[in-house]
Amino acid sequence: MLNQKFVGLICLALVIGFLTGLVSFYNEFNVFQSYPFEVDVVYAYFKVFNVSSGVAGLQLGSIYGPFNRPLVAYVIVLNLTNPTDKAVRIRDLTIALGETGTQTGQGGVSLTNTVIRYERDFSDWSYDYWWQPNSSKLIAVSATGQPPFNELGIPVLNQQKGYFYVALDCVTENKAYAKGFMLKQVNLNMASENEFFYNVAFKENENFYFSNDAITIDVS
Amino acid sequence: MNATTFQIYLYLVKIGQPAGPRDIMRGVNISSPGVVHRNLQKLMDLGVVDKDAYGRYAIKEKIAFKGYVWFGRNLIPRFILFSSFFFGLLIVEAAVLAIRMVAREPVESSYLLLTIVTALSAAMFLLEGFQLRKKYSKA
Repeated sequence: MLNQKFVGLICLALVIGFLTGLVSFYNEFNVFQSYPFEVDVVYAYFKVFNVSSGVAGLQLGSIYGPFNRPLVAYVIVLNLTNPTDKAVRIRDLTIALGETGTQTGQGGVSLTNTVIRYERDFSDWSYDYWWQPNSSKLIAVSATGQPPFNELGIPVLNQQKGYFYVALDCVTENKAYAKGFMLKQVNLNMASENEFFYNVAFKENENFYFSNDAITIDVS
Repeated sequence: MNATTFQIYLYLVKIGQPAGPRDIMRGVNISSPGVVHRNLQKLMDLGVVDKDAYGRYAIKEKIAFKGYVWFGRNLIPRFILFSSFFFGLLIVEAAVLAIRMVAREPVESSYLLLTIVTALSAAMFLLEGFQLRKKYSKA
């Protein structure tokens, strides 16, 4: 009898402690909620570089064979919209361009003949990566690299057609998740023999440059 | 109140009815009737035990003991209750810590300190509580 009452009282104290913690850290459990976040590619610029084969260093091919894998420099502008009533901080960004793109059953995407694959972790808190409720901002990312995997990336640019895939993981001010996803076919324009672009954002004679945070852009 | 007096007092509270000196001797496991009488007299002098016309002793009032709380007829060390409270809190804090790690969210050093303090509090209260409980169990 004593033990039953004793254990009962201990359980009661345990439950009171648990409930106190639950009330105090209620926001932490919002991680199981998910909000939408909108992402769209509005501008992309690609330039293909052929590196002189007589120079020691970077190889045009790959360790798998004498494939044609020149360098591709690119700038991609994304329009990120937070449609929720919560402030949202962007965290993980993935961008890829391939010849074809299909959604797989597990919520992933399968791209063929990838031209570029860009991944960035925005866990650097020194910059303001927050999106206020119901707001949009343009961000730009740039990089240079060889098309991954095989030699078939560059012909995708020459075909002037491909699939853009963008995935973005964010967290809201109340520590819930927000996810952005985009998979769309785009038609590229050829600016010169080695330059390609896609533009639905900027008018003629409209230019942009990177802001101090190296992510958001200013349009002039 | 010495240990034997305390044991006799707790026995009378536990049975909740008047008991003769021999019942008390058996209940508390004391071999000498003189020791029982002497301690019962002490309790009567303190005004917490009454003697009826049949020579049986019964609790007059429950008194508070430092570090314990009465729960019905049971005396429970407060530290064990405090420890349980902190363990309940620790479960939530550990869950939050696990969630932050899985979600790759930064864990502030102040939060880590809070969790460590909660864990230490729970452990220390438990240790102290069981030491008091051991003393009470002997009774």
